[in-house]
Amino acid sequence: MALLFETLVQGLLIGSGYALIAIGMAVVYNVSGILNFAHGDFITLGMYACLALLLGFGVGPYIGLFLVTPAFAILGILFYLGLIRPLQDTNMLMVVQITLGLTFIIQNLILYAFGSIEQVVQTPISAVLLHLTDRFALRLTGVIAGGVSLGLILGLYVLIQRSDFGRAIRAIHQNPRGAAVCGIDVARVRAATFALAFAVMGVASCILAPTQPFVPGGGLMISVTAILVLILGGLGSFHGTLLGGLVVGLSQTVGTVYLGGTLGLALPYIIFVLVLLFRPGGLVGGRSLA
Amino acid sequence: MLEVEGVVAGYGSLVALDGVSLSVARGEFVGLLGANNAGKSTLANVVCGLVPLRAGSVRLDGAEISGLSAHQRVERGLVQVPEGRSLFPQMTVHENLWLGGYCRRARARRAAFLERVHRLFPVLRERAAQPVGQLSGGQQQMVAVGRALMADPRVLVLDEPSLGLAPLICRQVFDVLAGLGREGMTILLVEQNMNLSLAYTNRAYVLERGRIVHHGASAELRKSEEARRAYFGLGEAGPGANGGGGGDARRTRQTEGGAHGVAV
Repeated sequence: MALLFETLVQGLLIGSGYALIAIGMAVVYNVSGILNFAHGDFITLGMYACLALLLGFGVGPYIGLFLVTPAFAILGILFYLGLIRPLQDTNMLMVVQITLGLTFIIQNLILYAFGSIEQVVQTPISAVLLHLTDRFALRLTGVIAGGVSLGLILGLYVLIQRSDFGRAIRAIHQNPRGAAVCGIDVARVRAATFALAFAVMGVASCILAPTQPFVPGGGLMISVTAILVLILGGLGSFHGTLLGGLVVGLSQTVGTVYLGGTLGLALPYIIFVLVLLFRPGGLVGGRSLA
Repeated sequence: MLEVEGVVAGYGSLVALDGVSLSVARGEFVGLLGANNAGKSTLANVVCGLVPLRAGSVRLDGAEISGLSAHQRVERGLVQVPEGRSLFPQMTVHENLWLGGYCRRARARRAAFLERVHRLFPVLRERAAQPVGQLSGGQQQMVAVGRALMADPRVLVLDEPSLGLAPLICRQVFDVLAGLGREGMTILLVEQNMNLSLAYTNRAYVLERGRIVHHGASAELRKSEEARRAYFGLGEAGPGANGGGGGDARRTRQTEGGAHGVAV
C-alpha cells in the first residue's frame, strides 16, 4: 500500500512536468496549426542556458528563471516572425521541415558549446529530501518542479478561458477571419501567443534542469513525450493535455515499479495505443483549448 | 460617410472589381446587389480591409482608410458581418458576442451593448451558454449580426446575410436591420436577394462583372426592368425575365433558371 502511494505521488509530480511541457506545444499548435518538432530542443536549450548561468555567473536555476523566461519570450516572437509567419500561408509541410531542421541546428550548437557529456545543474537544495513517511522521501527539486508546473497550468487555464487575450487566442484558432472582423489584431495576438508559449517553455526548462541530467540530443525525447501527451489527451485540448501528462507520468512510474525492465518502460506507449484504438480523438477528443 | 472611389481589386490575374465607386451617407441604408461572382463580396472585403485594393480609395468621414488593416477599421467603427458568418463554433453564444466587443472603442461599454443585442434577438439570451456550432442557421446569423453590433458600429457592412436562411427568419433579421437604420445607423447591405433588399433599403447599386451598372432609389429600381436583367446577368440578351418578379427568394431563383434557358 505504501509503495503504491509512493509510486502515485512520484507519477503525479513527473506527469505534471510532462503536462507543462506539452501545454507549451499545445498553445503553439492551437494558434498556428503547427506541431513544433524543435519544441524539446528549445527546452534543452533552456536547460543549457541555466547551466551557463550557473557556471559563468554563479546564478542558480531558480533565479536564472527570471532571466531565461523573458529571453525565451523574445525568442518565441523571433521564431514566429522569422520562421513561422512568412511560411504560414504556404505549405504546412514546409513549416514542419523548418522545425525539424531547427532541431539539428540547436542540438549541434549545444554540442559545439558544451560537448556531449551529460550535465547536471546543481543547486543548494539538490540534496534536500522531504520525508513524507519514515521510509518515503521526495527530492525538494522534484516537488518544486511538480508544484510550479501544476500552478502554471492552472494559471494558463484561467488566462485562456477567462481573459480577453485567451478568448482572442481561441477565436483565431477557430476562425482567423472572424477574429479580424472582431477587431482582433491577429498577427499581434499570434506573436504574443508564441511569446507566452516560449515563456512557459523557459520556466519548464529552469525548473526541470535541476531534477535530471541532460545531454545535447535530449530534446528529441522531450518532443516525443510532448507529442505523446498531446495526442493522448486529444490534440490541442487543454484538459486533455493535463490529463495526458498525468497518465503518461503515472504509467511510467507504475510501469517501472510494478512491471520493471523493458515492459515497464513501454507501459506509457501501450496505454497510448490502447486509448487511440478505442478513442481515436484522444481522451478529451475533438475539442481544442476549450 | 463611407466613400468608395475607383476601386480596382482582384485575386491573381482575375479582376473582381474594375473601377467601382459608391457612397453611403450618414444614416443611410444602401444595398449593393448583383448575381454570384459580380464582385459584391470583394467590395465588402475591400471596404473592411480583408482584401487589398490595387487602385482607388476608400474613405470614412473623408479620411482615407485603405491603408488601415481590418482591426484598425473596426476601431474606427467600420464593422462587417462576413459572408458565411465566420463565427467561433466551439465557443458559446455569450463568448462570441463578448468577443464582438473586443475592440477598444467598445470594451468599456460591453455590458450595455450585450443588453441591446439581447433586446433585439431575445433568443440569444436563452441560448447564451450553448456552443454556437449547435445553433440553427438563422440563430447563427443573429449571433453574427449581434457580434458586429457589440463593436458599436457607425457603419455596418453585411455580406449576404440572407444566405441559406428560410424566408421567415430572413425577414426577421432584415426587420432588425431596418430598425437599426431608423435609429440612425449607416448600413451597407451586400445581397443577392434583390427583391428582399430593395424592399428594405433606401438606395441601391447593382454590380455586374466588377462594375456598377445601375444605381438609384430602391423604389425606382424595383420597377426597373433593366436592373432586373443586369441582376440576372443577361446583359444585352433581350427581355428574358417574364415580367412579374415574384416575392420570395425561391421563386426568384426559378425565374433566374428559366431566364438562362432563354438566353442560351
